[in-house]
Amino acid sequence: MAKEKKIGDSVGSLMEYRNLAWKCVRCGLCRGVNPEKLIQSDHWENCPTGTKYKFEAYFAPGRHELLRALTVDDPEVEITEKLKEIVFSCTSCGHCQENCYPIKGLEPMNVGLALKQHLIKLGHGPLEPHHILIQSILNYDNPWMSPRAARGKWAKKLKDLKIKDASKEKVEVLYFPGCNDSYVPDLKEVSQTTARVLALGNVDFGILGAKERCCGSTAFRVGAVEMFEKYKKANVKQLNGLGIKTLVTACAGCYSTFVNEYTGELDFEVLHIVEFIARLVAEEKLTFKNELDLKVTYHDPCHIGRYGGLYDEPREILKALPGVDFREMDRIREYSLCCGSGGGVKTGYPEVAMDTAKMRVREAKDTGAETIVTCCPFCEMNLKDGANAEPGAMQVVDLMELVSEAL
Amino acid sequence: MVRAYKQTFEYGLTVDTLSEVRDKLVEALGAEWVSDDPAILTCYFRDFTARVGKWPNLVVLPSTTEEVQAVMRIAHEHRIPVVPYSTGFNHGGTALPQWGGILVDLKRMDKVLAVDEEGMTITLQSYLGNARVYTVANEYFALEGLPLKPAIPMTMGSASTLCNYVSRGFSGIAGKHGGHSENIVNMTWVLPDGEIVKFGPGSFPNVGDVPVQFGPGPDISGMFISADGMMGICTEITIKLFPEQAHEKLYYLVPNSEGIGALTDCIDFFYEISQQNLMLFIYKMCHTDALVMLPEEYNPADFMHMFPEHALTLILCGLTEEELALKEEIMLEMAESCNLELANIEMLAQMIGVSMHKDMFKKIYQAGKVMKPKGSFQWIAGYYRLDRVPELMEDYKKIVMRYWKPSDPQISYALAMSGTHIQGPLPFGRATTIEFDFWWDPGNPEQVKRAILTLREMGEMMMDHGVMFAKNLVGTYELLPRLGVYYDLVCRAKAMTDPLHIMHPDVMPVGDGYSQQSE
Repeated sequence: MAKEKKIGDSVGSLMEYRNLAWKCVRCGLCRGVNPEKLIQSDHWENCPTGTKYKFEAYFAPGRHELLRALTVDDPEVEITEKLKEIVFSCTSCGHCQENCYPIKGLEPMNVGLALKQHLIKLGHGPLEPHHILIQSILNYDNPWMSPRAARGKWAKKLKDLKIKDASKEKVEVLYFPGCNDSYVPDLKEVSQTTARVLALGNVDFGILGAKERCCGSTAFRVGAVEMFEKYKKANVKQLNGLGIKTLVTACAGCYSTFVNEYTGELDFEVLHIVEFIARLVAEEKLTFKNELDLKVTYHDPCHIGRYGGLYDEPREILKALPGVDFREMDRIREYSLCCGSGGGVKTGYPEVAMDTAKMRVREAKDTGAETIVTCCPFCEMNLKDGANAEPGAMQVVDLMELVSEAL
Repeated sequence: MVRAYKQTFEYGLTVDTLSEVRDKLVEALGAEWVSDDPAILTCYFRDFTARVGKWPNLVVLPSTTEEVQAVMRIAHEHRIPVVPYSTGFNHGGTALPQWGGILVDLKRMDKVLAVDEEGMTITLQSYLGNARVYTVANEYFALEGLPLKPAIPMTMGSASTLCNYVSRGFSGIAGKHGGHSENIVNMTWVLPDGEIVKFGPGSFPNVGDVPVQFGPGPDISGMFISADGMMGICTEITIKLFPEQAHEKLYYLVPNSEGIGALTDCIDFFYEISQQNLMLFIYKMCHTDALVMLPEEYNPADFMHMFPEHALTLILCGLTEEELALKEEIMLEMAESCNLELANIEMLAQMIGVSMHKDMFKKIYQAGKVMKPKGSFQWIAGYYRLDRVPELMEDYKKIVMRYWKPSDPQISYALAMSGTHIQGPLPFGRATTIEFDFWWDPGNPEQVKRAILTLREMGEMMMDHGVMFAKNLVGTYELLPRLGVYYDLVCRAKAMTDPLHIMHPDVMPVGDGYSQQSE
């Protein structure tokens, strides 16, 4: 019988994983691309934190050992700054678990998340930079310390579309941009192009504007579970009350959170925009007409890839765009290298995020592509930073920008 | 004379000395690559075996031979025990510190240093895994335009190639190309006092990587092979590459008989085909090995019982299709005479109800494998007369049944518990390697206890039968004093190379006369 997918499933407590820690046999499958699938030697390592710090503790087997050491009757280790660095520098990309769970049945990424939650429960977290994010979410419902009223400003330029206010009018589809695509100046274009594309596809959609709240993903990923639960509860109540059939988001983090952490509590389907666009294209509601003349490669965001299994949809869209020369990198799909920014690492350990992004940009360049396409605001921001730090120009764009140009 | 083991060594493991050592290591390697934090140290005292070590006092991550040399000089100056560690897998229990001291984690030594396309060699650092080595070698070509490949060990693709080679590894390809230690050209070792020594043609001035194994004069490289870090740290190795054949085909053969009769049939075939030296790769597998054919999303435990206990995987090759076809014809005749049948993997897949990786064994010989059964495994292997393997197997089964009765509720992996592989036939198949694996749950204390007892008995049983251990592992080191004079000589060689006995102490018992031997 086939195994159930475990990436993105709910995370258990530290004690629930206690026995699993003993079962880790250090086979090393979690450190790199499955040997059966390796293409180029230099592209084997696939754990952002382990690749950066190299000590065993930063790889999945080390996290298992720390879990074991912390949960034995007389804990073997004290919680030091180093231990906090080991725990909080994990991007929760899920590559280790993608490799390990189907074969060895262990859940190293979930162990990492449980460790974060455990440290916070004991008062050893969140990290100072994460604390700022969390305070911002508490005060403003977003991690960017921007007022609630500014959340829907991205839509002001789109008056011609007459976007409905989903809190007042009934709509079939709710477009949920999330905090990044709503507030970050560089990313607002993603929201705008997404809305335009939905309008071109004659989709009956609306937004919540200033009434939209953070999905809680950031809080959950850095281990602040109690706060996440609070947001989840409020969002479930609000979103279920809208009477929508579908929630669409272009944010991989929001998508993963709604699908994996709100499991069974939402009365509607949740789709990432790539699924929704693929559907519109299949129904011939969208047709690509404009030639783009671009050599591109695609970076799988962890939160729609390993967490959501959305590997084919973005590729099908890219291949359908006229004039796009699509080239694959070596580490793709379930073996994709994380951009390095997940799990609060971009804020907590910017050097890990930057080193990983640069590594990914170099891999993208090896394909001969000029542009990296992705579907996640976190990946886009971090890969842009990586591209700026690497010699030679490399553009990083969201898939929706290309879709919009091609229509 | 067998000496009783008694610890008489004094190490500089005091707080003050370690603090001084730490400062010196930081100066040599940079603060980033030296740690004494408990959160780092606690990750190095356990591995997949039932053996437990002790925390090291310091972990360091050098990136070059010279940095390893600096570490060894500091350790030597202050009498600090040193344990080398690469991927931490494959050789159970041999990278666990027993005294504390410095653990040299070799993860930063992950580079291919050179590929000599014409001489068909590749030079590697310590940490590089099998899959990566194969991938690099395959980018180069022999004169005939055929891609080059190394002889890849039949262990995890993530496990270190260098470690497997210097510890006398072997694989199904050994019948064609020899055991892995036979394919070493050059080795670079850092000795316990920090001296760097090169073995092979590289030990002579201006010779370089001439692809012959040894230079003239007494060859002492054997002292370092299979020494598992007790003679120093191997930082670089040059190994032979071979041209891939233009045409290769994989076969899966199953015996028509069952039980020990099936094993005998497999061995008969193994012998016949090795006599003709017809194969590129041959592997007598067990049901746990067959799991590599299953796609990842399926639970191995649900399918284990569907595969035969004994079966063979074989790869034939040829420069032309005609050569391959001829070999196939001869092979099939041999198989028939040995009561073996060519299994159709498509039919097997249909019977089991899943689509299977047809060429996965080929992939394994190319890149190393992924071990599919859950839990940990303990293994013990040796060289033995091929025709006597069935007797050995009978005794092995008795031990397994003593500790791992399938009816026992404590045992969750009853079917996967035991397996026997035969691979790496020596030329003409007179002798071969024989490996016994058993899988167990390291999270289950009862199973841990049984694993230790099983291994201890198996080691003794194998020695009683006259098996030569292929690798020294947990459960076999303790038996080495039974080698008598030979063992004494090993201890003396170790004492001369490492008079302070700082290099991986306790990997092998050395006897209480050690310090006198070194004088």
